[in-house]
Order: sequence, then structure tokens, then C-alpha cells
Amino acid sequence: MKTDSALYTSKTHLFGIYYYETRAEFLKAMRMPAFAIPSLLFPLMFYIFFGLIFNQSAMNGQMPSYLMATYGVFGVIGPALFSFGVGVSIEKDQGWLAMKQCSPMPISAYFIARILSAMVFGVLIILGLFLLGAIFGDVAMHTWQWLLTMTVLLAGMLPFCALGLWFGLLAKSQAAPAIVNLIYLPMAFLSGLWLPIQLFPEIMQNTAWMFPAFHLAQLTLAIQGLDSGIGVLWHLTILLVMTVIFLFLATRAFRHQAEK
Amino acid sequence: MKGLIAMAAFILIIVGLLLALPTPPDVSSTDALNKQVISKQNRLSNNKSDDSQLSLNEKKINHQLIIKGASWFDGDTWHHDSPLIVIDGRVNFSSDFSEELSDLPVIDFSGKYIIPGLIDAHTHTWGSALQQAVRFGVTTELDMFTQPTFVTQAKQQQSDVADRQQADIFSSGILATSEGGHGTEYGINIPTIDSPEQALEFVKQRLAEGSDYIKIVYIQANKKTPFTSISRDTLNALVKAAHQMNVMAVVHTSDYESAYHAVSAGADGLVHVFHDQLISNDLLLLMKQKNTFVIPTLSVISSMFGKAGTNFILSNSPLQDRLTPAIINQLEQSFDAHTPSKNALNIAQKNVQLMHQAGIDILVGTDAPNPGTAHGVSIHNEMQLLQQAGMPVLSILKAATSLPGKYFPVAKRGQLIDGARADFLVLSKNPMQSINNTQFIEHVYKNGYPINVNHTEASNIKLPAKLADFKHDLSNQLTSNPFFSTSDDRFQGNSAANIKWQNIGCDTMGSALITGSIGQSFPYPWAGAMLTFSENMEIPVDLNADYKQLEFNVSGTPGQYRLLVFTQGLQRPAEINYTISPTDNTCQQISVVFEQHSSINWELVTGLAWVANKEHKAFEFMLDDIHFKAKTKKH
Repeated sequence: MKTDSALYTSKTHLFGIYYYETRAEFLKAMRMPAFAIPSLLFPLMFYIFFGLIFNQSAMNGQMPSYLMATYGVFGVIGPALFSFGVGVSIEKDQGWLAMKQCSPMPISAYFIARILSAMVFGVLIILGLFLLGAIFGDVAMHTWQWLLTMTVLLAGMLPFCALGLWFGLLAKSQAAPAIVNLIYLPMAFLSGLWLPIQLFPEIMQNTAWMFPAFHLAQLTLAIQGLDSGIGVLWHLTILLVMTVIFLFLATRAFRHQAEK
Repeated sequence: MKGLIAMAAFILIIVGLLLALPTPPDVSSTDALNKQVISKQNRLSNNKSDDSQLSLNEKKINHQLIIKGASWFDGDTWHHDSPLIVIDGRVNFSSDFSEELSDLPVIDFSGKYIIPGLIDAHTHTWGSALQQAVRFGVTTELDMFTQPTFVTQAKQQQSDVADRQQADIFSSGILATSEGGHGTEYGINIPTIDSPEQALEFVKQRLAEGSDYIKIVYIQANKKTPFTSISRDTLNALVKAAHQMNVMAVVHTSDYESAYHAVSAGADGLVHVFHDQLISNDLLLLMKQKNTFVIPTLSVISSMFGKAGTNFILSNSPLQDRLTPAIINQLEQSFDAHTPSKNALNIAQKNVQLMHQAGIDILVGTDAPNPGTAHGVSIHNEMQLLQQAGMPVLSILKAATSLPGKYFPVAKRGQLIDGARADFLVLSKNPMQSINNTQFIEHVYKNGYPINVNHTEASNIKLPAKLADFKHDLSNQLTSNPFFSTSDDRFQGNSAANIKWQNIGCDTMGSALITGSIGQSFPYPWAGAMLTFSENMEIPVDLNADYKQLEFNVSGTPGQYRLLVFTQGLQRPAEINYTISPTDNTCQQISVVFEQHSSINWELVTGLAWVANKEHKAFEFMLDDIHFKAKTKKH
């Protein structure tokens, strides 16, 4: 005898739920120009200014490809932080999150949908940067480097989704955009996403180790051999540890939220 | 289902786009372009030339000019009526530019003589050597032993034809020598080779580090020397392994017998000419038959046997203005271990003459920066010495420009032919009249860009009278780098040193406390405290400008100590002995009067160190109040 729950967990059905939820989430994001336009345009605009117009010949001409990697990081962590940090916070205060929790849909679909739709934004931003770099910055990399850069950047969104989720669950919706911006922009600068970290004074180079964005940037730069040479494993390990911590904090906040 | 298709399509589009993004140019195709047609060098052809890694910059460089009026030498013949055209930093004769040419900037060098950038075929290159070399017209150095990391960095910079203001480099990387052999005495820990079985693995490791060719040090077993050497079997195996891996093997030998062994082994070249006896007809024939080339390095042989390294510079030569105090310092040095024997240089020169007459290729190499030689400038000395040895001017010019390309994978460097880098010298006097005229350099061009020949390394560092009082810490008044401990453990010795600040001092509070021990494993052991005047010890400070003596206070384990004075251009510091006498821990002031140590170049000091002598097993001393005494003003 088939129960409803057996039907409901059957694979095609579950895939359908995830797909429709993701599509709805992505459409929602696209229909909010206040989210979509800055997310898509800011990284590209900054890259054009700092990577293509001003500094093109710096670092033996490697500036465009260097900054393509770091603005890639800047670009992808934006949607991750905002979708979770701001989006979840608003939906939590509106009661929409509670509503989702009550619905028969597995709550994981809600988060997966958010992650995937943020990643679709990520893909668009990365592709935009790649095209700008290739056409105007004379960036040329092996195909595996292009592919790996995109993969690393997309996978690198996960820690920031977790970080954003934690903020989103903790912060009031009115405060969330300000808080996220307060984290996002200074972290981006201090992690060397806007200007190469080598240009910073040594003390700032050392404090950059606090930020997950720095480690993701170093991993991405390592694909082109432009990292500061400390060792990929270090950055990977630190980033993984940070992810686990953020996930733990987010889970705890979620449980706390659910109990209320 | 619809969802699946949409997702698959989305992913396909992304992957398709990624595949369409630009990739670096294919190495093999551009390599073919740079391949040189060379009789013997088929095996070199798969040597990656650095030009094959066309950098992104290359596309953007638009550096072009037309040079008219000058007689110019392309490395083989002289041209008198045609212009020299540079497009994108390279010599260009390939297409008919008649229309486009009209827009290019024209430089009139009427009455001048242009020769390709010189190639020094035997150097040891690190630090700022490449910047120094290019100011004297050496645009490419063939290094014969340095740290592979330096070469890797330098090669990245020469991968394009941008305005670099420095010479290009090719290198053997680490040389092949035995444990305790020549090459191991410089304090750099290098891998050694002790049996023929290791040869192939050794060569593969060098190639993995980026070596362009293999350099082998070989001294035949009967020769008396302080060094060990690889065996003849290992020599044979190394040459064979290098050829198996399609790279050249060149051999350091200094006596006839060793050279004979190396040539028999099939070595591509000898990197010194031997100076113990005249060459036999037998060896001449063998070298001719095997097409072995020789880099005599007469400059270093002449310096070894007592000839001053500065004599060659002509009185009205523009090179005089380009000599920095550090370069002069270097040229005035001599080897201390060798007994002067004027005859050795004569034998060496006679051998060069006999080899040249027999049709054996001679290349121009200096072995800079060994004592008595310096990067760049010494190539003019070498060319003079080759002329003295009886080589005609045209042969010397070829030897210093195009001939290295017959053997080394230098990708058209040293020639002014289509596609070659625009590396050249503009001379005001005709070098065909006398090789000395290569000193009359008006301009050096590298990659089509003029080199700024005026050195700007003069330091205007103002030295404070009080260098360090150790009141609060180990800092000093001159630099932000504090005093640090130094010992031969960084050269694999077993001495040890430790420095810390302590709150007791000589007159005022605080001093540096140095503890340590002197081991026996390093030939010149040391341990103590050091202060560098600049980050890489590259900026000299003139102690003599305002001061006449250095004073400092010490107390501690009684015995002999040394003050080491590091000067620019010299690898080994000067040493000044001082004694800590057995007293009850009261401080003693040590004064070093500069005038009394006139052999030290006090104008070029880059660092100081206070170290314990050999006799100490364990020592402890305190260093305090380091200051200078001002010169008394004369009226």
C-alpha cells in the first residue's frame, strides 16, 4: 500500500518540488530589480573601472586576469549574502518562512532553491566577467582554467550562503540590508577583491586571513598561479572550517527560530 | 521533464561559452617559428625557447621605430645602406611596409655603428646583475650556476618584449658536481651526484627546475685540488643523459687532461679554456671532429693570475661614467688563493689562438661576478683579451653576438634578423677598426626600448651618530629591521646563535644579549648578531662621509671576536678582530677607526655583524651603545 508520504518522497516528485521552487525563487529574484540589478552590474562595473580602464598594464599586464578572479569572488558572494542575509530575514519577519515550514514541502527545498537561484546569478556574473576579461582585457587561459575558475567560484558561494543565512535568521528585516552591506563591502576590500592584496601594508595582508573571501580569492587566483603562494591546502582547509562554523551557527539560529 | 531539458540546455550553453573563451597560444606552433636552422642542433629543437610562451602583453606592445643612417651588423655581415626597422619590439624585414612605414618614428644615427646586443656566455647571475649587465651592452646572459628560483622569476619577465631595463637570461641552474666538489663551497645547499647511475635522474631534476642546459664540473683524478670531483664514468653518464634528454652538456675543466676527458665524453662545450699546458694536435683534431665549442673566460683567468680587472677600460671610454663604486670595488678584487703566474694567461691565450685557427668556435664569457670581474662591463675586457690572443675583430664580434645561438637555445638573440628582439648597441666608433671601440656605447636598446644607462643607486641615506642604544628593544636608528642572530647554520654549518633584549645595559638601561656556540663543521664558522642597512643589503651606506670611527660596548665570555663589515659588490665580508678581556662583567668600549682599515670600502657598507671566533665553544656577550664618532672639521 502506498501512503501519501511514500508518494511524496518519490524521486521525480521531489525533483519537481526542487525545480519549481528554484524556478519560482529565481523569477522572484529577477523581478526584484533592487536585488537583481546591483548584484549583476556592480561587479562588472567595478571590474571595468579597476581592471580594464585604470590598471590594465599593471603587474606585468596580469591585472585584468588577476582582478577577473577577485571580482569573480566579489560578484558571487554578493547574491549569496544578500539572498540569504536579506531575503531570509524579510521572509522570516513576514511570516513567509514559517508558512514554508508548515507546508508539506521539505524545508530543504526552500534553502536549496535559494542556493541554486543565487548560483544562477553567480553564473551570469562570472560569465559577464569572463567575457569582459577575454574581450577587453586580453585574458587568455586554458579551457580547464576557465572551467575550474567557474567551478571554484560557484562552490565557494556555499560558505557565504551559510554566513548569510545566519545573519538573516538573527537580524530584523529592517536592519538586515545595512548589516549585510557592513559585512560585505569592508570584507571585499580587506580581502583584496578590489585591489591586489600585495599592494596592502603587511598588517592588512595579515588581517585578511580572518575573512573567508580572502581564502576563496586565493584559491581562485591559484588556478592561474597568481596566489600569494602560501599553499592552496591552507586556504582550502580554513575555508572548510569556516563553512562548518557558519553552518553550525546557522543551524542553531534556525532551531532557535523554529522554536519561537 | 521540461525542467530537466531546460537545465541541460542552460548548462550546455555555459559550457559552450566557456569552451569558446580565448586560450594561450599553442606552444608547439610558435616554437617551430623560432627554431633555428643549425647543423648540430637538431637535438636542441625541442628545447622550449622562452619566446614560445608569448605573453598577453606581446599583443599590446606597439613599439616601433626606424633607424636610418647607421652601419649595422646583423651578427654575420655589415649593412650600410638599409634602415633597421623595429616593429612590436622586434626587428622586422618580413613584409613590405612602404606605406605604413611613413608613419613610424625615424631616428637618425648617421655615422654610428650598430651591433647586436652582446651575449655573455658565462656568468653567475642573481640580485641586480641583469639590470647592471644591460647598461654595458650585455643583453643576454648565459648563466652557469645560480638558484633556479631566480631564473624562473627572470624568465617570466623576459617572456614578452616589454620595456624591462634588464638583460635576458638562460641558465644551467644548479651545476652537476660531487659532494665536496667545486660549486659546493659557496654555502648554498645543492644536490650532488656521486655515481653514473644517478646521472639520468639528476638531469631530469635539473630540467624539471627549468635548466636550459646542463653544466658539469669535472677535475680528473690525478690533479691536486682541494675539491673532490665526479668520476670520469659519471662525467660520461651525465653527458649521455643530457643528450638523451635533448639538452646540451657543458663542462667546467681547468686543466688539459680534464678537458680531454670532457671532449671525449662528447661534451658540447668547455666553459673555461685550460691554462696548464698548450693544447695538443690530438685534442685539437678531436674538438674539431666533435664540434666542441669553448668559452675561454680569459677575464677570470687573468684576474686569477694577478692582473687588475680595471686596466682594460679606456681612458676616454663612456664606460667610466657607468661604473658605480660597487662595480669598481668588484673589479679591483683578486683571488687570494692563487699564486701569481703570468704564464698561465699566456698559455690560455695561446690555446685560444690555436683553437680559433683550427676552426673551433670560441664564445665570449666572463665568469662574472668572480673577483676581478663584474656583470656587463667585463665583456669588454674579455673581447680585448681575445683580440690579444690573436682573434680577428670580426670573429670576436660574431662570437659575442650570433655565435651563441648556434649552440644555445637563445631564440634569435644576438642577431639583428627578422623576428629577433630589437636588442642592440649604438657605438660612436667603428668596432671593426678595434675591438676596444665596443666601449664607445652611446645607447643600448633592449626589446626596442632605450636603456637608461645612468645608475641611480647612489644612496643618500643619512646615518645617525647613534646607531643603537638598546634602551627598549633590539631596534636601531637607521632601519626598521632590528638586530638579528646569525650563524653558519644557514649554510649547513652547526654553529648556533640567539639574540634577545635584556633590561641591563652598560651605561644606560638595556642591551642586546647574544648567546651561542661555534661548531666545527663549516670551514669558516661564525655565530653572533647582525644588522643589515637595507632590506636586501643592496643599498650601501657611506660611513666615511661624516664619521671617522665606530664605537661599541661589549662584555661577556672572554676571548677573540670579529666585527664583520659587509660591503656592496663583495660576497665575503671584511673582518676586524677585537678582544673581550676577562673582567668582572664591566663593559669595554671597542673603537674601530676607519682610517686604520683602509682596505675596507667604508663608502659601501651594507651591514655589520658581531661574531665569536672559532676558539669559542659556547659564548655569551652583551652588545650595547653602538655609535659613530664624527670627523673633526678642518678649517
